[in-house]
Amino acid sequence: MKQLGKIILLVGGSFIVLPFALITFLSFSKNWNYPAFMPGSLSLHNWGDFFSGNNGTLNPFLISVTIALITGFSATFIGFIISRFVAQHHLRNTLIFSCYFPFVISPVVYALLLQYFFIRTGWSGTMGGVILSHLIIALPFSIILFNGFWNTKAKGLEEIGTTLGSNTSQIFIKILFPLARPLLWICFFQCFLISWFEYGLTSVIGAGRVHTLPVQVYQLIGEANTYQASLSSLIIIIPPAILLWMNTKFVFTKLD
Amino acid sequence: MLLRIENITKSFSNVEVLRNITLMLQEHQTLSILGKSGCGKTTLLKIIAGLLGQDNGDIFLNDSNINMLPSAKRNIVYLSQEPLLFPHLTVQQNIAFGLRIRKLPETTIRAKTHALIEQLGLEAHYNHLPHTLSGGQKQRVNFGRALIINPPVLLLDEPFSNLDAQTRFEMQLLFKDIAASYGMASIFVSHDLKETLLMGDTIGLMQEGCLQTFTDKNSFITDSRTGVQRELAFWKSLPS
Repeated sequence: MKQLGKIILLVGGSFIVLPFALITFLSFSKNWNYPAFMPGSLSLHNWGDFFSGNNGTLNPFLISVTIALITGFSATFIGFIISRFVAQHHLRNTLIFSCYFPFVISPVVYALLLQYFFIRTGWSGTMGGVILSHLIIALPFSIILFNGFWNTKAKGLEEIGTTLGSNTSQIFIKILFPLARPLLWICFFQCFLISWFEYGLTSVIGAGRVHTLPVQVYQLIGEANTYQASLSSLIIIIPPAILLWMNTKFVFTKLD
Repeated sequence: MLLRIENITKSFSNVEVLRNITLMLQEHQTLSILGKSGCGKTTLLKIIAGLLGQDNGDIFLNDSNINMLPSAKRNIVYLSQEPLLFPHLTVQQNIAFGLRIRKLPETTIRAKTHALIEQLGLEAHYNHLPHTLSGGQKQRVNFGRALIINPPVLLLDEPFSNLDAQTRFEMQLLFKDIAASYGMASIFVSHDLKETLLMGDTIGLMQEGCLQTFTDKNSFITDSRTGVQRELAFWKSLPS
């Protein structure tokens, strides 16, 4: 029984690890043509091209990092403040229900519905427009996530802080932000991921002029550029992996 | 007169919670108000603290109308039933909170906090976080956090109701001692008859949104609505 468990664990683990191992291997490879068992050469050439910006992946990577960081930070910060007002509003349930709307339809369909407004306002094809489109998804998510935070305890602490002499900004800085710190981290992480992997909204609202990493990966796969696509796919995992590690080390342990 | 409240009314969704409440509080006095749950005690305290707005009526502090003064500027501290301490701050930081908000020099903050912590008997818990404290210790920190800013009026909303009988008694004595040494005025609401009699210099009874204050303890005891006579009859009826 113990043996069987080990085998199941090994097989299950392989399903998770092997694809990553394969794309890592491919990112170092060149000239691997059928029916050759091994690639023609293994080198750091593809990675060198990435860091020197020669293969056109470094720029999309930096654009993606910028967009995801701004989206993650804005959605977390603005969402936290908006969710407080939503939680205290007499139409709280209706407002929260409306926050689910962006998740009901596909992002591509949603982007096509919004595209007209972005073109009319001149935001189409700009980085600001792409960030705004990502926020349309990330912000409602953030509001939904923070909704549970505004309970009677948080309200009571706010009241105590107020009667002790705190103004609104002191209430946020000295009480609410520290109190919600683990949740703020989780929200930032999730909103970063929403933006980081977003393809549909970026490709439609970005109108081919905002070249993010997911757009680049899709393009490379379309061109059957296996080695560069593998390299880009690997790079696309790195920032979320770092954030996940940080969350595990600094956030989840504190929640226990 | 330190605090004067005139004809306060308050309704929630057309239900009248407070009806023409009028009361007066003198300096260094504690007004204890007896009332059942849902009679409007908490609403009254929150209106005085500025956390809720009244529909009608006026609140005067040292003869100044404070109707329009925001809660943060009233300097009236409201302590709720639950000792809500800031969970991310230590005992020392919780108590020093009001002073830090006022941006006092760090040396003054440390000196004042240290003295109060000693007075409250919390020296052993100086750097402890609230989740490591007992109910009584939390309530002491709660008091300390309020007292350190020297509020003219302290509002206490059934602060000892979650404590066991012994700790409750100790806290009642501690509060009376501290209130006397700081010369502080307070309004203390409770649903406990004995506690109301013990804590107040003057006593009030709140029923269905109306408040009646008694001129002396004797008139409170003899009034049939307060339940004191019923209580006395119960104890007398027990076989000796």
